[in-house]
Amino acid sequence: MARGSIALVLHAHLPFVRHPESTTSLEERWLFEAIAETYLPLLDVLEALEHDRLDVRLTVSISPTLLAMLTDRLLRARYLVHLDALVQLSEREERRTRPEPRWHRCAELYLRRLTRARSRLLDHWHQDVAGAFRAFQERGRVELFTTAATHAVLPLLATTPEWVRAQIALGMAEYRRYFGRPSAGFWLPECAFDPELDTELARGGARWVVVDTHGLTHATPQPVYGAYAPVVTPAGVAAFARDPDSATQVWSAEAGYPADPWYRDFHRDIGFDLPAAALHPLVPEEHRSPTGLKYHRITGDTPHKDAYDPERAAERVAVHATHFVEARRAQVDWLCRTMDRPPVVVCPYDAELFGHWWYEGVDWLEAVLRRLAAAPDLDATTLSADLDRHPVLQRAMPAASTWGARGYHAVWLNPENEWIYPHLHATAERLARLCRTSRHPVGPVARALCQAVREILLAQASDWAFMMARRTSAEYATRRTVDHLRSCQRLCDAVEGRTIDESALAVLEERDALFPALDPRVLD
Amino acid sequence: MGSTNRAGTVSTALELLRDLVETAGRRLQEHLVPLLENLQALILGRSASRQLPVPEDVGAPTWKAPEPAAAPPPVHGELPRAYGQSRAVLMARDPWWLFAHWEVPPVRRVEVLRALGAEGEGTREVLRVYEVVADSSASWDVDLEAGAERADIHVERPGRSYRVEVGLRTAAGRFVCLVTSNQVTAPPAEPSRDTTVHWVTLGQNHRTAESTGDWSGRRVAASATATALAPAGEPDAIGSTPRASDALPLR
Repeated sequence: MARGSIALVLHAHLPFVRHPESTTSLEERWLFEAIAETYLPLLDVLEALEHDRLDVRLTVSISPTLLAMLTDRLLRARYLVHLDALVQLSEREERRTRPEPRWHRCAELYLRRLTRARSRLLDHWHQDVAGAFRAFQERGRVELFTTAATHAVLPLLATTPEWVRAQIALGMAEYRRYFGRPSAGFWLPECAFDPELDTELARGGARWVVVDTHGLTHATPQPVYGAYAPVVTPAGVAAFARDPDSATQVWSAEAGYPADPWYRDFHRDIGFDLPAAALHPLVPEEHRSPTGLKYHRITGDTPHKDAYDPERAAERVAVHATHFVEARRAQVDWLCRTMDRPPVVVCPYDAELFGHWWYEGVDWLEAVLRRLAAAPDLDATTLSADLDRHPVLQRAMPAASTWGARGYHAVWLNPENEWIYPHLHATAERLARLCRTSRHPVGPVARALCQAVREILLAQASDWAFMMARRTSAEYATRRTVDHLRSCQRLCDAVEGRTIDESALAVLEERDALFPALDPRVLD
Repeated sequence: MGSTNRAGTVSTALELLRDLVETAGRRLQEHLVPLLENLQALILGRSASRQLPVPEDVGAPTWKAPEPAAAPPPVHGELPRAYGQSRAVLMARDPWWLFAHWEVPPVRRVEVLRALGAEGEGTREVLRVYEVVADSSASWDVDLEAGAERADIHVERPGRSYRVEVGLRTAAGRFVCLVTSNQVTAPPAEPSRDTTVHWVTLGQNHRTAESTGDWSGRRVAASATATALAPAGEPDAIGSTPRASDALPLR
């Protein structure tokens, strides 16, 4: 009989990046890297666990923008071209490194994994990554859920409440359109909660959300079980809280598992180390970029990096998986002395941490799930299953909070990015007014309004403000923000002035091609 | 409204404003004439042609022309400099800091200054911050640089509600509001003092029913689960649990 539950929650999200106007968009590679390094390996893990009939569950959110990209014909085709080039590069690397065993064992590993990934993608999943996840859900192996339409930090839109409603409603609608059922959960982007969101989340149909630890420990009134049982808000939405201990063990850049010196170093990559001629055509000479083929391990806090040893890394995976499960066991044992119900330890992570940032992460995840399956006292559960088993909850309103650095909005509202908000707020208000006054639009006016809604939603993505704050791809993020705002403003001008240029509209519709069923009444 | 009609309406409005300016005092004219010229140029799509004058130092503080931006906002492309609507937005960055941005169309300032008449000499633009309490609103002023459109506001009390007004404060201390913001509540920085316990059974469609909960009265200590958050006024010391965005850089 399980004494406590461990709820592993993966949030899979990427901003919508699609550039049909360019043949060499490096930003599209974010999707390609995530497919090869995170999503395909995760599917393999789900299949292996199912094959071995292990009763463990995961909860996984797939953002609407990620879903749009995974199902996009152009991006699928481009990904295959990219994957072919990567496989060819790995074949060349396998040949080139034969004289050096310490590099060759890595090259062999990559060739094997990439060849398998290509085969699995084409022959087994039929290029339908999202469909593969859907099939696992339909067989009860995973609970999938949704998030805001373009992953906007919802409290920062609170002064334009119709857009909060639109982000939630469209996120829910896109999930339902693709997965054929309503989403029980709603991933709050950046775990950003504010009491003002409560009624909108309920209205949108969210049965549960996840907040950061202090979102619950600072809730009103005080939750008696801290972060280890959900509460229910006044509007009837259940709120689970992130466990800080399991967060530190995985997320900490200094002390977490991914920092182990035997794990693969992220930054040393042949895309920067080898001559350009050896990398052609995958890496353009004028824009060196990572390939995912990396030969070094973290080693330590030193610029000198030793060769990566896959076998030693695998040993560390086993050690860390055991450590993680034992730490959860100790938590549950301690909590059971106080709690009147089994504790639920919620462990949410960005999905892309596993396999991409932390190369061994997916192997670790599988090892953890297998150990949980073998542990009679611990139950790897989904959040919906926990609610079904324990529907008696304390009523409380979580506190405003995020899982961002410093616990609130400093990441998305600071001198690097605060300039966007006057433009976002003014443009969103204007478009909302226009949608309200344009009753029953048809033809080009309807199309223009729909596209204007897409553009402002895309401008609202939290990813751009994050990149500006972190100064990574900041110029790209700025350009995306400005482009979407200007596109929205021009469309509003065109609708108001009755001067819609249908060919220009078609260009935008082709480029920012997501949410095909969008209706401006989503603002109502 | 078609673009031709719109331009005509704007021109008529500007002519009316010129009439008002010509009847205004000398000091007011010094500021308003070039402002109107720049406004007209912006609306009609031409580049601004005149620098705003730096007023003479005549002792009493006066409204100062905005300094050219040393570091213009990092925008590419052609985002509007302003949107022509009175708007003030207040956002909570964390328990101790709020962020406000606002826009006051020039005609609104002109209208208020005209109404103030001679009292308008020596006004100062300020941000008045209100802590919203049930029966009253305590407030304090933050002096603004000329042309300011954003401000960071430090608050002493997390968990309280606030709103702001951008306005003009006369030399005699009278405050005239230009634009009012929304109300925002700063997040709490510590566990709630409310320890009441109310159990419900969560059913379908967010419905809840009263429940006894079978609670023993034992609590999991908040300190055992929560990260140690900084005490009020020390946001930089916030606690130990790494956040998603603390981890390896996104890209």
